[in-house]
Amino acid sequence: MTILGGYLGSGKTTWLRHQLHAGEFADALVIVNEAAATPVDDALLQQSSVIEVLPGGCCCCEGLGALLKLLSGICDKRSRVSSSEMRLQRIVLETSGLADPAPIVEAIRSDKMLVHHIAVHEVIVVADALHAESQLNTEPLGRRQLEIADRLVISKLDCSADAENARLIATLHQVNPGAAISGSVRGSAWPLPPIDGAEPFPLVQLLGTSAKPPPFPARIRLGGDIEWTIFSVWLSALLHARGDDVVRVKGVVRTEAGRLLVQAVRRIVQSPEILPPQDEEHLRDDNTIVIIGRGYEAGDLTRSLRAFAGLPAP
Amino acid sequence: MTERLRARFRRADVLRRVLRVYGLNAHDGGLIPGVQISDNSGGQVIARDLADVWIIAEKLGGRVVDPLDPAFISPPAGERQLG
Repeated sequence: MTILGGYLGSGKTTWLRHQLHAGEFADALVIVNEAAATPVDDALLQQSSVIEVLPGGCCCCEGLGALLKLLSGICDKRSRVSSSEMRLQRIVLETSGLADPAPIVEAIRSDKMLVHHIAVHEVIVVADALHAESQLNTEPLGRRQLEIADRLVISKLDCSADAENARLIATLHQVNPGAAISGSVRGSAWPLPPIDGAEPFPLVQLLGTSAKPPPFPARIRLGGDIEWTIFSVWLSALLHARGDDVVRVKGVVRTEAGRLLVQAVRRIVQSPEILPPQDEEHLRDDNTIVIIGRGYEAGDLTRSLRAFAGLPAP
Repeated sequence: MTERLRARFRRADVLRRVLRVYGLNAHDGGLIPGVQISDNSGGQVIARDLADVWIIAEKLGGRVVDPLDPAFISPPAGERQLG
């Protein structure tokens, strides 16, 4: 089993999507876990013929039981296939951005059944060239993810200058000296700049109290009087004012132009991607936006959006 | 009216409602690109896009337009619990 982790918006799904497209993990069953109960990433990973979605909770904490149950089911099914037939050889687990891979590895190793069936081959963690430094210094979880990786993939290398990227690589060597580091842009391999004595970024001591509270997922529903125009005005204002605390925005919005995948990482909003039409089962999740952040109450988001729309509070 | 123009007018309506809280106004006549942001003392700046709107509003109004400002998330005074 390969565990693919990385902080919210670091580019896990983009990287995995490209690997699958290029034929890597071709024999694998892909499991996608998302922190919120509304899966989005599976819509992006449709190239993979075998995919299981594990929504409704981060799989390193409240969703861990569901993950272990899913894995047991997969192992059971595999045991029933005779050894002369093609058996499942590999599982790729894409964790939610809020997952710490360590408890997942630990849980598999300490499960009496799973330990005999699943070997964790590699923990790959994606680090975003633009945000990894701030995650290392402000997010205890972001730092833990980078520390535990066997292999680090630095994404979005083209968005940041070579000198900064070299400093980030030097910093990651310090944080996780054992990990192999490679580069990527939109999922494709990308050469790393030479380190040439680059100075690592200074790292602060992250003690529980000095760090910000962990971000949590909240969902807002669009539709009816709250349509795309209102939502786009509201989201741009929210990211302008609260971009340090709203770490991830993700969802599918139905518009006249089609189904739009809306994504933002901190203050950076990606151009919406038009998704293919979907069957009825998945349409249920359309018009639900997942916002992962902190510094407010979940209900504040809907109240604020309704105020922007000129509607009374719910 | 084209759908694009209708969307621009809807956007200006939302901006007017929000910026009013900060003593500002928004106007989009549909003729030139951008949205006109103005304050009560006659200052006027054209914002090219939404990201620009918030930067200009902050300059003109003197504070950040924050959707999580109590003005937007607090229930109306009559519904607030006392005590």
